[in-house]
Amino acid sequence: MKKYAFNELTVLQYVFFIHGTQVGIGVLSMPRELAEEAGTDGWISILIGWVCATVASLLIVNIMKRYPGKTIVDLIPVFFGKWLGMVVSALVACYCALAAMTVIANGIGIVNVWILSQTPGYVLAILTVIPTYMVVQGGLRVLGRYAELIFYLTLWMPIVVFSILPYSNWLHLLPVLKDGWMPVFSATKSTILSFLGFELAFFLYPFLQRKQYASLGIVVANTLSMLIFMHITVFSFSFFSPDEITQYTWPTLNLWKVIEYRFLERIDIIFLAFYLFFLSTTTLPYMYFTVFTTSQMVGSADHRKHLFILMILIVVGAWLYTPTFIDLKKWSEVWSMTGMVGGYIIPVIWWLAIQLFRRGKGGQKG
Amino acid sequence: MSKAGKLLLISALFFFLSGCMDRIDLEDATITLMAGVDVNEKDELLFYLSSPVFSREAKKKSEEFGVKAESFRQARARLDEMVTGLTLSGKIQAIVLGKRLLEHPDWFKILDVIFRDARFTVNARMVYFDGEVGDLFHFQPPDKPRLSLHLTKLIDTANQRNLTVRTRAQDFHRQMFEKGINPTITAVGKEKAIKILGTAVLSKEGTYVELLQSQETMLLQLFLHGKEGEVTFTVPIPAPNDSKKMIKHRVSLIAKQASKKVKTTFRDGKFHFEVKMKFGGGISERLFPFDMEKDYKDMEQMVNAELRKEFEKLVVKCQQNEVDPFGFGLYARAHAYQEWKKVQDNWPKAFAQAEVKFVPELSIKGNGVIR
Repeated sequence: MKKYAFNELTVLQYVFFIHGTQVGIGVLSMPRELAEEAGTDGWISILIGWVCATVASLLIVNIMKRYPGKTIVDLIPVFFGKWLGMVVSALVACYCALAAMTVIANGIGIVNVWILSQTPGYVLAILTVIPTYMVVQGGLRVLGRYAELIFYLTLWMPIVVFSILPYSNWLHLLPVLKDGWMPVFSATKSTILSFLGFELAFFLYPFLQRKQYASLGIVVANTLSMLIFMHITVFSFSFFSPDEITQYTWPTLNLWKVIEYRFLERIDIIFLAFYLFFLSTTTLPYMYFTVFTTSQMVGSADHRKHLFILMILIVVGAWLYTPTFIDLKKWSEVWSMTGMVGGYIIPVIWWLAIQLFRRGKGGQKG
Repeated sequence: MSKAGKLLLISALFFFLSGCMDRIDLEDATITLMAGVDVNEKDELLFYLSSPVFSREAKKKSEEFGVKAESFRQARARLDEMVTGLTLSGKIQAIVLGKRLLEHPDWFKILDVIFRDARFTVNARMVYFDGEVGDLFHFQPPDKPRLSLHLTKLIDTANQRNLTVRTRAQDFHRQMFEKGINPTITAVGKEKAIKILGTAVLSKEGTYVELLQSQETMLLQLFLHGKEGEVTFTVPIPAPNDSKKMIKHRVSLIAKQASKKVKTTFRDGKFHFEVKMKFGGGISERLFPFDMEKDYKDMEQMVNAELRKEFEKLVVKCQQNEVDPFGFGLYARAHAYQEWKKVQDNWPKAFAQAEVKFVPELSIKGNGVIR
């Protein structure tokens, strides 16, 4: 029963783990994506996305409550049998790997554009992979501590954004709902995907020390992420003109570019360096659950061997092939699509199935 | 993980740190502090740069070069053939645009690299130069510091007194793309010395349209930013035979605070803007006798009337030239969106038809230390 006892997470670690996974590459481009769809009303879509994500996460927690002590990987063979279960597990691993790869490749791509334009991608890949290995090999508890640490370390960043207040013009945000609700809803599609990361609750639930806080914790995590998204988006909208913001690939970074102190210019570079920590709290969990799934598939408890192989693969991959920015976009799209399925559709179907099953059995425990 | 393994990984990290291939030593860098773009008689683009020279042997403290090129990047290559080090663009303080360049619509595309290349600073001040940029770059007054530093300081201090705007490349980018405002940049000229002329207002295509003098700039700044820096007005007070006297009836006020409210409506096929501006001001100079204690209300009224006249004159001037440096378009979008949508692609034209009312509400807070 207590298979995962040695790796338990505290409630705070659980919150920051999920929150860290949610806040990733999305923040950089989110203001533009929202502005393209909904103009300056995009911030309303964040609220709607937050509601959707919270509902989906609560469903996941509710589902996992029925299978105490088991992660999704333990459940798959139970539901699908041995061989089909293998296939489904492989799909889960692929999903996590895709998420991790997309974020790593994007991170490397951004560093290449923004700071080190001459340095080849594989050098950056090696530099990313070494610390990644050192953290992930420690297991889930280390990851939880890492997520918490990074959260505290990056707390200053939203505060510094306030220094663009003198340049912001709140007229940009008016009128609210300028073109009605339709654009707001269509932009919601991209915001609900920014909240992806909560689906890791499928894995995390059995690791949680005090299960009674599982629902509360995931709501807090979603809310924290929502606040960050909201903060960045509203500030970008007030700073950039609505006609202008769609010109930038990563408006959030451009926002930092204008902040200048007497003793320090180009804060965007520092921001970006710190931002890599943000990215790492997205990649590391996905990376961990990739190798967690694969090692469970072959029945070994030690995930480090697989992790080592994965790291080598990343470096070799980066050496053989540098993804173009179009590739990166495609990867993100595929991730979003699969995330939509894994994070929203499956929980809903599963939950409905459980409800039907219960009713069919006349109120017996499903 | 074993200790040896950890050590190995950490040392591998350090090994790669020095491997970033983008490193440039400061000795090998030519830090551009000022860049200029102009067009010659044959419509060929000219690029200029000015950068400080850090060398004891060099007599001059900065180097200036100009080249013919088709784009900034091409110009950089040409300039690298001439300057000592590698030209860097991360520290540019001012971008000077020549008069002739600003006669060509769509010149803005030239600046693409500033916004595309992440290493470019976007905090460079945009400057309109009334003349040939080459003259400015080769101008070396003996009593001034390096030209680039002198010019930046000049702009910043003039901006503090609100004699000109201070538009950074980022602001300029916004003003160019924002449909409801016309770009405004610092206008600089050169006679015996480099001189701030005021504010250049550009059309939506980027061509030069009109010049705002210092007092007009002050009103514009007051409208755009409220009270920022020092705002001082000198207002004529009507008096008999005023024009014949040497000492005219003038009063100068220093604004202490200012807040504005813009009421936007759309009636009878045009936009109406009512700008209510509350000032608190102190009298810093008065060249005629006046019983302030008894008649300060009259004084407020007279100044209000003058301010209103001046502001409305400024608006009419802008409307005649079909430019909206105030950004009334933003108010139109915020408060009359349906009407704005119809005219948004041609806002300056719509603004020329608009009705702007200015209602200053001055309250005199101080009279100085003499009566």
